[in-house]
Amino acid sequence: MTVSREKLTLVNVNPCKACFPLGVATAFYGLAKSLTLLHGSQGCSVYIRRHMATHYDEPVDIASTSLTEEGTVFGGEANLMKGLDNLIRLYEPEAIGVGTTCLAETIGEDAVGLVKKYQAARPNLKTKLIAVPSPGYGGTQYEGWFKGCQAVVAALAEKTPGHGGINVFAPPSSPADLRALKKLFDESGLPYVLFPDLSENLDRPYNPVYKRLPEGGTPLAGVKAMAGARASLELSRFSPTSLSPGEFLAANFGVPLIRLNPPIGLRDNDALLTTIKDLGGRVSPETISQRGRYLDAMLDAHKYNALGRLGIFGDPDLAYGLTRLALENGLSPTVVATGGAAPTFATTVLSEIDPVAKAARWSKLAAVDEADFDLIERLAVENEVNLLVGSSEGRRLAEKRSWPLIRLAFPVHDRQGGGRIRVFGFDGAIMTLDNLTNAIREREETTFRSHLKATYLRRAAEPLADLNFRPTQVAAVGGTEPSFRFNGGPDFGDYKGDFRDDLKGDRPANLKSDFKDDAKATPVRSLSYNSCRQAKKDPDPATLRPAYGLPSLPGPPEAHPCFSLTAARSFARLHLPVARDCNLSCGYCRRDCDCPNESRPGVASALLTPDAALARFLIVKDKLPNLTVVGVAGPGESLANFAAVAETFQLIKRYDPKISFCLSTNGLSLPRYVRDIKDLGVQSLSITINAIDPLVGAKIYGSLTYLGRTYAGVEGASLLLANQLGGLKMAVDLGLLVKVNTVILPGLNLGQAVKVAQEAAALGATVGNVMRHIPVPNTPFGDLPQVSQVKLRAISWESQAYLPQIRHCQQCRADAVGLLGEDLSYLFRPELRLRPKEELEPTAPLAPDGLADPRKAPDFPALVKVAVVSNSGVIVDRHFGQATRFFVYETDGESLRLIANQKVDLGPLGGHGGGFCGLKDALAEPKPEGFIVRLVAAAATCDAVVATRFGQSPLDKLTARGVTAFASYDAVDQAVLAAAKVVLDQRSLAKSG
Amino acid sequence: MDFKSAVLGKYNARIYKNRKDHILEVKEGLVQKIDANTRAVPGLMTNRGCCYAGCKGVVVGPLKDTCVITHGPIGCGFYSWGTRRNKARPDADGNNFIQYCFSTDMQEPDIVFGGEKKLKKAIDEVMAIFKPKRIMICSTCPVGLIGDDIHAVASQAEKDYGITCVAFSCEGYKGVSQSAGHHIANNGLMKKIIGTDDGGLLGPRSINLLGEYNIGGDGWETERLLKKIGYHVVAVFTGDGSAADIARSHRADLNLVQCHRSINYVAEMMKTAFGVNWLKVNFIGLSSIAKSLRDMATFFGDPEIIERTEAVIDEEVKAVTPEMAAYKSRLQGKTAAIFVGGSRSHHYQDLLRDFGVKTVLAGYEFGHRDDYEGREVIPDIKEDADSKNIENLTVSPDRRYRAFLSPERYLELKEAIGLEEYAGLIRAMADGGWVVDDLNHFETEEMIRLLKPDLFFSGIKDKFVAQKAGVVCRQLHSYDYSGPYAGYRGAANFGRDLTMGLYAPAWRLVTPPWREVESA
Repeated sequence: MTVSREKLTLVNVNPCKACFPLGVATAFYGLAKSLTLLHGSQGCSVYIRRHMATHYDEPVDIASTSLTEEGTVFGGEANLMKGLDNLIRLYEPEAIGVGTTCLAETIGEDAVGLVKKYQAARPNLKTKLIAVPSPGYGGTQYEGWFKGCQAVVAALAEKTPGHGGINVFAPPSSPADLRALKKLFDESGLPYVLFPDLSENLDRPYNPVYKRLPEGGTPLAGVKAMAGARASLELSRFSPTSLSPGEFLAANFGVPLIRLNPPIGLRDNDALLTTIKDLGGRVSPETISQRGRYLDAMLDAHKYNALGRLGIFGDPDLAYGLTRLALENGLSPTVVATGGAAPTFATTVLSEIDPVAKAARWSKLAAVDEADFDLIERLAVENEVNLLVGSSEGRRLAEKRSWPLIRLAFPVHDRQGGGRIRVFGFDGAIMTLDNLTNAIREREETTFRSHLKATYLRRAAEPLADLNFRPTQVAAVGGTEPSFRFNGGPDFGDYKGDFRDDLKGDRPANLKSDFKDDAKATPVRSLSYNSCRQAKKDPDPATLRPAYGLPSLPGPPEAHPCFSLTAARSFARLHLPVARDCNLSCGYCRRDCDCPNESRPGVASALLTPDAALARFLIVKDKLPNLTVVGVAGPGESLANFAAVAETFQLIKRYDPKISFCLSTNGLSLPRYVRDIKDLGVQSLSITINAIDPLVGAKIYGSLTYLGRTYAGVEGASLLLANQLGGLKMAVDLGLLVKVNTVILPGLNLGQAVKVAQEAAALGATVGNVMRHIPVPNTPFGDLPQVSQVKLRAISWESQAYLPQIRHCQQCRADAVGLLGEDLSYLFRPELRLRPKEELEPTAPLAPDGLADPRKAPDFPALVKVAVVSNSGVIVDRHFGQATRFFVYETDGESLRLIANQKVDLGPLGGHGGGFCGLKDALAEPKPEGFIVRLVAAAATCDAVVATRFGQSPLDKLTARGVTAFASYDAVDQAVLAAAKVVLDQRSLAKSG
Repeated sequence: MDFKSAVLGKYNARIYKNRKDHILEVKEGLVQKIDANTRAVPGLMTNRGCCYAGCKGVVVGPLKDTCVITHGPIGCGFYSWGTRRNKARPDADGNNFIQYCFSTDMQEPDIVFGGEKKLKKAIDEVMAIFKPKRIMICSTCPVGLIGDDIHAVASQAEKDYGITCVAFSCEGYKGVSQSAGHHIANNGLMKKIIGTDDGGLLGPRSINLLGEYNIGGDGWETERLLKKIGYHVVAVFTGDGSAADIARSHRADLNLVQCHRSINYVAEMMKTAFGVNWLKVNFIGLSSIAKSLRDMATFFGDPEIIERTEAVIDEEVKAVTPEMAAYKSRLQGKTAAIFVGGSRSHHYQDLLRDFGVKTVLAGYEFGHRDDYEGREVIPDIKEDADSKNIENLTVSPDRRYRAFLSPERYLELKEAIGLEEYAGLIRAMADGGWVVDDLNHFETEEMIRLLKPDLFFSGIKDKFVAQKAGVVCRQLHSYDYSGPYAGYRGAANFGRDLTMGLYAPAWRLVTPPWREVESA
């Protein structure tokens, strides 16, 4: 908890204060039948009149001496004299307050001397002249007010015989508040003089005849008698001694000064009433009733107030009084600011808040003087303000941040009733309290339905009204917990992960043992797993769909293969590899742009420029009329290359306005671009969220770059998470369909997937998708075994309870083309000519002539037989579990020959529904029971098997039968040679060993 | 006693002598002369603002792509922050600085020891936080007196940051009103912004809209019309305006001048330097809009645009006619007094006429004699001590740019549509109307008492005296949170607001029942 008094900047950005002469002129308005003349440029009086008139909705007369450039050279004496002449002649005021301005003071005008001179030349002058030096740089309107008061008292008060009267000096306050104050003193029976009395002059009753001179106000005689009063009451905590009218009377006439806080809230009203009683005055029964009503109102409002976190700004006295009122009502004033310099302000205010804050365990608060709105905004964001109290100049901030603003301070330009603001007295306190509580209730009342809907109903059709407001209940406590909040991050509210619970659920990262547990983990906890199995038996696709988790959604998802299984069967998609850069390093990823055959996210054969991407789109669209979705899924992060993505989509849209766009993102830059994404016509997004707990995230992610800064560890993971969830929320609000991917990393985030689903569902995601990581050599998780298929499914079904899951994800390449599971991207790569698929089916050895030279065959007795799982026969492109046939090669390690294209007998149909590696389970024809055993048996006739990937179980089985499993994404011939080399090495090793 | 003597009767001889030449009764067929743009009388509560208000508040303040730093104590920046209801959309870079107020917040030590360092630091901070491409610095009273060289600071900032930085010595005491500030701002724009961007192509029939500050959306409604007909609006000075647009405005074919007072210097200088002709237009009031649009079509002389102009006028008039007629039926025969800045007191008479409202008094806060009597009096206007202090920037023709019109066509058109001409307010008024220059608070009260207008149009400072005396007021500086009033749709809005005001139930309820009984 710090007291921030440093002036953060030299430039005042959006000032929270007006200037000195405004205060002086306002104080003069409280003197009966008087006028103000400002000595300087006419702009000063015009600007001040303008500001006072809009606030009070009353005519405001402040004259000017209209100094011109000539006056700056020869002095302004002539103008001042003329001004006084004219005012006196036309208006006949009882007094004229002569204030100065920056101009007059800078050229060294001696207003006091000049006025004396004027008076000396006119001995019969009835008008009292009160001169006060008041340059704009002399302070704020708050100090000007006291200076004006003091000048009037100094000029008018005369040594008077002692009388029983009381002097009352108020801080800058509204006419209505001063009326309330007068009522209180009228009822007390004490003789008193209130100065300045704006109550009638700046809030006049209707009268068609305009009175040129203010009729109300403190009579001059009243001020004159102030010197003989019994005591002065100054209702200000911060009026500087040098400017205080009470101090002046005490020092010059020995009038005792009683300083009190302005009567705002219960305690300070009680203090004032006690003082009145001590002075022998009465307190009316009506006031006592009002006190009771305020207490009643406090009790009625107590159950809402703890939700309010106030940002209060205004004059020191008002801000301080409102802080005390807020505290006694359980509202948390977390930022209290004043625009001018007030050295004791921050410490005084903090000493009020501190005990309460300590008891309530909130540590986020700031009190500051010399604040501009730039600083107030920064502090308000940092300290989680949700309600502003101050002048209408805070409206820009209120609009920008969607915080309500209660207008209680000068100036109010955008509402009626500036003159009728009420904070003084018990009734003022009731009105203020009602205003504050109602602002809180209004938001509760208007947001709770959408909040509940988002929390408890699956898919919120309407956007949440205000995410920012909802979690405040959680965040209002805090203080001791680590806070994952970043200035650079988006302002999406007070999200806080419940990471401690999560830690208990996850075992420490002992990968080996964890993996073993995993392998055994066949029992499935979730009931939904069984219901799934039942549903699967039902052949009717209409009833199948709900079991697969997709509610029937209109529009794009029906044609988006990744969102809908039905769509995946008939609609093709195209991934355009235009995103080169990445802003996040994930432990399981390596971006490759030169690996032509590997199939996994992060891989593309070549990067495309937007123009080239358009060209590819046109070619593909021509060949695949069922192409409905164009997406960017890498190889880097789509939003780290937003310009390229945007250009690509715009180009394509020009040619095919019907195509639907999709993006895959890690979410880091999502809040920043989500509106642009929407504008581009993107309808769906995939966000990969691997952890809800930043401590877990910190283990998965290396470093990330955001807005030019690099973050790592928990800090980075928190920032990422904040942006992912914030971005997700914004995307949903904008009507985008969002799929949330979670890569399961055994031992790292097993417990997280369900939490991700929960959070994502609450924020309105459409579907979820859990997937295994693909171990990539030379990455941090390259040696981390994959989670078992069984476990993956269990997680998927557990997540299903919160968020519908898809289970047909193919973990596509960044340049995938075609139907899911039937990647045709190799057909469209620049290095290969576009040929009909059948041309690529091998009918003869692919190897160049000579390699399979029969004459050489006898020389190579140690031939190796390699079975290759491939769809095209050109490259290794299929998972072992997907094999329906093997290309069997014979090789000596240098040349090779295809000896068979062998169909595998997979046995009778029926039984186990999914492919056992999970790749085609949802898409493929039903697989025969025990087909994997048959596959392994078929493969066991060879020395090695080459496929893109192997499940753990077949891998074990193959190894057990002495077959070398070789994962590759290469061209078939190269993969076979490489596999053979391994086998031959093993053999020679075995021989020598 | 006539109106004039009644109003001025309470003045002493010296003020009477001063003020009598600022008031005249319109006599048709007579060439009349009025005193204007002279010093306000001290103590008379003029409604005039200062030089700073004219420069920062009016002309450069609305530039949305520019950070305008007020160099001075806090008041001036604070008071000129968002008070003119200029509307602006963010520019291409997403900037909209008119929501901001930047001030160096000078304190006493800065006055004593100089504020240049603080200004320099303020620029550094604005650059660091907001990274604007342009910064403008506006001086307040003390700056010129303590000798801060804001122009040197500006040059240094240009060197340091590679930005455009324009300093305006618009200290409040310069000149006699806001008008001096307009002139200073015009000079600054001409010196540093206009003509600095020769890149990119402009569309055919390219025009600039000068003196349109987009109060309450006026500029947007005007632009909508112009675009509908087929004009390419290059730059607006300066409502929803950007310095980036103004930098290329010199290549436009024609300048339209809406507010003559505040921007005629730029119009004239652009004509001399770049050969851009200017045409006084008025998009307030149905007949004025039609005349302005037809004059423009004549200027371009393109049959297609002439046809399109007629079609658009026809369509737009038809669209608002029923509404206008409804309001007219309730406003016909009312009288009005208008006292606004430098052009609107003229413009709104045309619109009031559309509703059958007669203007009985009109005056400018800070107009010059040419705004009252027409531009032909400019050579006769004597330069006084105050106007001498404002730089009269002279520019020379830039041979690289060519006027849109051939010299022959120019002469022909100058006659036909009055290029570079403005006839002034007096000629627009009917016989017997009163014209008052620099109306002050005291005279306002007298005038309302004597002329009893049904409607009073002015600003926030003087409106309450009239309003509380039972006269319906509309603020014509800021439109009382309403607008737009320009264009066809704006005309209907204006009619709606007047009707709403005149027929508000409150006026009928102000007399209490016991008084009604007494008077009956």
